[in-house]
Amino acid sequence: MRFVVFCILLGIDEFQAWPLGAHFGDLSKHTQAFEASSLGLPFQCLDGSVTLLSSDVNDNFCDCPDGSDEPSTAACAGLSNLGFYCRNLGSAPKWLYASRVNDGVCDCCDGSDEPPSGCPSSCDKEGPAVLARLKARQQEVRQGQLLRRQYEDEGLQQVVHWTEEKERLAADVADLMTVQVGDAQSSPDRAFVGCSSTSTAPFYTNGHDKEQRKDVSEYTRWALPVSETGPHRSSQSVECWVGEFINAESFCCDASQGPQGRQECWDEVYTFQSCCKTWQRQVLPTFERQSWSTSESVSPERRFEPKSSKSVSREMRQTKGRLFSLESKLRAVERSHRWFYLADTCLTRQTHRRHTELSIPGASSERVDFKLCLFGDVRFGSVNYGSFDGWDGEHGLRYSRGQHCPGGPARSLKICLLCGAETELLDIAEVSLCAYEAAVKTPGACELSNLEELADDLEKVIDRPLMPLDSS
Amino acid sequence: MRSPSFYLASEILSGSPTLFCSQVLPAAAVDRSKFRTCEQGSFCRRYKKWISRPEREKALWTVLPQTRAPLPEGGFSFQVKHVNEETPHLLLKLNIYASGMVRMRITEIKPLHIRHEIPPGDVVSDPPPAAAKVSEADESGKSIFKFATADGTAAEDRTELNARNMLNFERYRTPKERLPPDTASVAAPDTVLLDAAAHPNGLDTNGLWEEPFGGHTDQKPRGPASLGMDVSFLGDVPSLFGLPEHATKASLPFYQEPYRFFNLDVFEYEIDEPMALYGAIPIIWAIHRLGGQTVSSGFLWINPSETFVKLERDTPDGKGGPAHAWWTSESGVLDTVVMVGPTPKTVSAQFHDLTGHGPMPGLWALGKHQCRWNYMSEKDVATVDSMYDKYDIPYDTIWLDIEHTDGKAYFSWNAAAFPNPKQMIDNISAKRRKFVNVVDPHIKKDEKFHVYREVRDKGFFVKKVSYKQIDDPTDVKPADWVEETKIPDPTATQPPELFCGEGGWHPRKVNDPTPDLTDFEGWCWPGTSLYPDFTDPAMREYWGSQFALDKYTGTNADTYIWNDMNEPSVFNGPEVTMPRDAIHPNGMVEHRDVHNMYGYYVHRATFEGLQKRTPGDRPFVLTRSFFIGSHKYSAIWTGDNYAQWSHLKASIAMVGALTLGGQSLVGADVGGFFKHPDTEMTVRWYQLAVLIYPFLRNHAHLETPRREPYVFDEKTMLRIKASLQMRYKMLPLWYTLFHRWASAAEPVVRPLFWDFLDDPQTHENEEALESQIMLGDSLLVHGIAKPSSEQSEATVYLPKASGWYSIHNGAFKAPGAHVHKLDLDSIPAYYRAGTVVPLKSRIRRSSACMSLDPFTLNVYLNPQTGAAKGRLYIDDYRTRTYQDVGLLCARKIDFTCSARLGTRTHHAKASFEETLKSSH
Repeated sequence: MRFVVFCILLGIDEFQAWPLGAHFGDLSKHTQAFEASSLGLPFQCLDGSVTLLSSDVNDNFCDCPDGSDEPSTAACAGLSNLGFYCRNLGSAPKWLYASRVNDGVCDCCDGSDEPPSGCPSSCDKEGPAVLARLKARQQEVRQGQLLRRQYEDEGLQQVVHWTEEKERLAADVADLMTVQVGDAQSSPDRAFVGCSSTSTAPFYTNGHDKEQRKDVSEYTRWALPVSETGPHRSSQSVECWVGEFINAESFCCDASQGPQGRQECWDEVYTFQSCCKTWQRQVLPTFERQSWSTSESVSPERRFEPKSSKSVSREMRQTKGRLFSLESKLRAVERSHRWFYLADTCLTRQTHRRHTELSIPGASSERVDFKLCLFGDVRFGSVNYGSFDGWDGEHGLRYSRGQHCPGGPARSLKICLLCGAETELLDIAEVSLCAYEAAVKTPGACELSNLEELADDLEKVIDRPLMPLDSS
Repeated sequence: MRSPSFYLASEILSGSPTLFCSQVLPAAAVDRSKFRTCEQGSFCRRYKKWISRPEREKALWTVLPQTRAPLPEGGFSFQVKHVNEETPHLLLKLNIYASGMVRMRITEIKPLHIRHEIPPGDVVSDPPPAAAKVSEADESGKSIFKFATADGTAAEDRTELNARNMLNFERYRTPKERLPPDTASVAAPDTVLLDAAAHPNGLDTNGLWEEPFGGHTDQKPRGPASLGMDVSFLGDVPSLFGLPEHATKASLPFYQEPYRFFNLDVFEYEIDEPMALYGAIPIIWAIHRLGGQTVSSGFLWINPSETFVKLERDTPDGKGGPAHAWWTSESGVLDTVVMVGPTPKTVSAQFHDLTGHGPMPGLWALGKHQCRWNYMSEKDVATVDSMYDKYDIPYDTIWLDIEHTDGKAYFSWNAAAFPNPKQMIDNISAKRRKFVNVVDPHIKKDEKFHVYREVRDKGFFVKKVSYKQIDDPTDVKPADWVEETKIPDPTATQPPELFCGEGGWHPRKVNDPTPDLTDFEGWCWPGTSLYPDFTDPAMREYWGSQFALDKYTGTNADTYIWNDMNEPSVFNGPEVTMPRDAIHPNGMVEHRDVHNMYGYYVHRATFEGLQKRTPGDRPFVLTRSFFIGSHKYSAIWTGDNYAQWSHLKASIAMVGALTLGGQSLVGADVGGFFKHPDTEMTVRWYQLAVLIYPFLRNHAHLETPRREPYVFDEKTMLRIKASLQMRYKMLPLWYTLFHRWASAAEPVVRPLFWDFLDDPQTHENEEALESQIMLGDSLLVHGIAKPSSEQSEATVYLPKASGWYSIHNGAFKAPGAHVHKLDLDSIPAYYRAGTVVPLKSRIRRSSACMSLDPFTLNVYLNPQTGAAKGRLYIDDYRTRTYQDVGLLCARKIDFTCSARLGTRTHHAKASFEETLKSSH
């Protein structure tokens, strides 16, 4: 029981010749139906559900449940996904939802979605720019596509090479282990301490504060870390964890494995050290009974030095380092060997801390390096934002277990790989507390379909298909 | 028009022992220790002892009929004498209004300090006085006040004031230690019963002059000034409603603990609680069954200081018979209004007659609002906007929370994330959508922040008093004082010790009556913050001027404002708010006197500023804190709720209570603010919200994952989209209902009793009361507040009418209880038979885009008569010409077999169509 009220008919412009908004390229059935109706024959809705009189077509009243009888009007707005096609001669054609037709917003550069004289035609102006953009993009995608093919070829060899070397090194390590264990029978497996986001509950330094925060208002809670009563932030951002461990050096590498290899690894020891001091202060009293001997004066790397032949130890250390680096590289090619070229890649971008680091109240707007090692760690300044954790779909990368936000969850990141001729970091944004998203352009993400779609789009701009009933 | 008459009753009712049904309180998530109970506040504790004193039945106050005098604003006054005093000290003012209301005020005749009264016009406009003459009986000495309609048609009493003789009125007094010794016998607070703070048995003298709580000490240099009284709702009263804002049921539970009104920023509030929340509209609605007749009435308590109200019954089971309420407030004057009804429609009309009518909201305000704490950058905003478009989901407004600012200095932008806000908002405008920015009332203490500097220099900040002790100037050295002197010891070999005056006369120490005032500094989002005195019209004027487009950079005329944290929230203050002893420089009023109106003055200042910014435009302001009369300025949401089924359900009662308090533009955060709802809860919440939340906003806490409709799986997204499309389809109905609200005082959404008072099920049926609510008089909605794993069907109660049609499939149902099988695609909702519903079938990306589209009328025939009626209201949807020029189209639609359309009830003065077109 539905009828249109003419209390005030503030309606759509009167029925126009029906090609407006209709596109027949891909919908031959649609074409036939409209051709039939233009000859005065009945019109069948595309879903076949209803047959209408020809006068019901494009009469500004939605008759078909699928909205297919009104390609030129907004009568089926919100209902139809078939939509309105603006031809945009001189620029790129565009599909619109029927809801955009005659809604007071100019969506088509040819103005066809609004009443005559409602929108100035801007296709001539925007056409060249659209064309240039599409062409530039086509160029980029082509380059990317070429590189991708190259990487696919090279990747195969590289992966074989890496796999062989890894096996060789693993054998070396096994050999060295035998020597070392023989040399240092008395040295037990050690508990180690290190910097990480995966804190174990008993040592979670914020546990007490968390309890306190329950008591305060939402807002107090956010204000606390910088208030005089709250714990100092820097002590929150360092957390320590304890686990079973054999070799301190490889732990260090684990935490910082990056394309720069061992040099970077050693740099990390500083963080390690400061962390250990925090750890000693906060955790040690409860942990002293564990089999971990320490002396304040000994530096961490010395502390874990196994009491064995120095040369064996050094060799072991180097071999393990190389092995670890290889394992990491191999992770990069788990999905496809073409990704080998990113195995050692780190991308850096200077950005405002305030822009992305919402969760630090009152943080200054200093510019900080955001450093993304694609199959390793993500760092923003000195803060770890997560480590590579696997693929997320064909072009997504996941990073997890970063440092905890003050009072919040562990930081995590999602990367979306887009097709590009070079590898570059586009954007980074915090989408919810301590959950970040970034986009990276890289050739490996170029698919054949990218090119095809672009070609399609270009063709639409350059060679306008003639409309069957364009004569009106 | 019926006019109530006022007379003094001829007998004193004796108070009967009161029994309460005790409530088992649920496990706590909110920190109760932070918030005061009645027992923890001295005036409420004192009042409880006062009303349980053994000699309570004895009348204490006498109204002196011979002192009757006319009041300048209409009405008249009497002096009131305490039985234990010679001269009358209180003044009773009466106003009788033509719409059927009696307002009774009691204040001091010559107070020691000014008793704070709300300035005229701020809450109560001046309704037309009674047309009929008032007759009052000369029955002095009787202190029961009864109200009834006076035209002889429905003269049965339904409301009595002070029937249980609980009136208490504490006059300002001089601290005992400052009274001259010879006055003791005159004032005699220790020997003569005067009030709860001056009682011969010393009921409770703790906290009269200072009161510690939660690490803060409330200095009370003016001493006790509380007041209280009881009201009785007569007849068989099955249910009471109202008392917003509390997270409680629609049919108000008779808790052991009184309901509290003290506007607070309550972190993680709980459901089924009388604890105070963000706002206060102290109104009670009663249903009275009087013989064969059912009527309703309202009672309003107008006091902006902390207020407690306790609901009580005579019967042990807490059901049936009359209902009572006692009220007590910390300071100010006693100001009550009885709305005698008799129908819910007249009670609503009486309330708005007293407090003013709400303005038409812009149509866009009834669309979907998309908010989050926080959209982080201009790009983020653009992405959210374009994702809605990508899926063709309608929405009208995108919001930014506090993170958009430069270090929480409102009116500013974080330049790194929002380098070009004007362009960002213009892009939103270009799609005919709107933008809302948060502007909180606390001002960051920062020399670089111009608002801080200017408000400080103008002296508008609320002040803190630095109390210090001085010598009491009234304490003079007695004439017969003998100074003890030390006589030098003649035998001493050492020089005498210095004489330090011990034993000499010293005046008493008292608090300095003119202590130092400094700007009060509290802690809020920006760190150290100051709080402007919004009770000052000059401050409001200044505040309003800050919204001018050339002052508030980065905004355009499609930018509207959200006032959050305006209780005010003070992180380090007592109960997370401002200390009661802070001083408002406007009139040197203590904060305790105006606390519950602080938020009201903030959003009013913002509203008036927006009105000036864009003349002719309808302003939009959202507020968290509010008071009686906020409906004239602001939309309200129910604050920081939780993604829990219980909060989903409670929102039905909370929205219903707010609309009974005159606030129709209200809603809860869809999906809850704290925590993350699963997909089913999200869908159910949308399905309910699009039908019953006049203000429809999706909001989420900073820590939660994103929850915009398009982030869910496709099935969920499509269900949410379908719900939102239904909302947009029904916008003409919503808009017409808002016109009924603005012009005829009808709540847009209302509990079932409002339309079906004669159906007793709407007074006592649990499902009908707590799960169901009406949109206008035509649509009944039943909320689903459990997951499908726990609930596969719902019992829907359809009140007595000529029948009901399912909104989803048109199936006809007779009145009565129906079991409804549930699926995830919809919740039960029924149109009343005999109604015509105006709709728009073309769903576009925003309400403005739909403004010129044709209407669709759905006609739901009354099966007996074959007829249906409805209304349709149209104007330009966004300007004030509907008010100023009368350009509008309001039609009654009368569908019968012979005639399709009824007559135009409201003539447009000019070519309405042309105006509508040209204004877009």
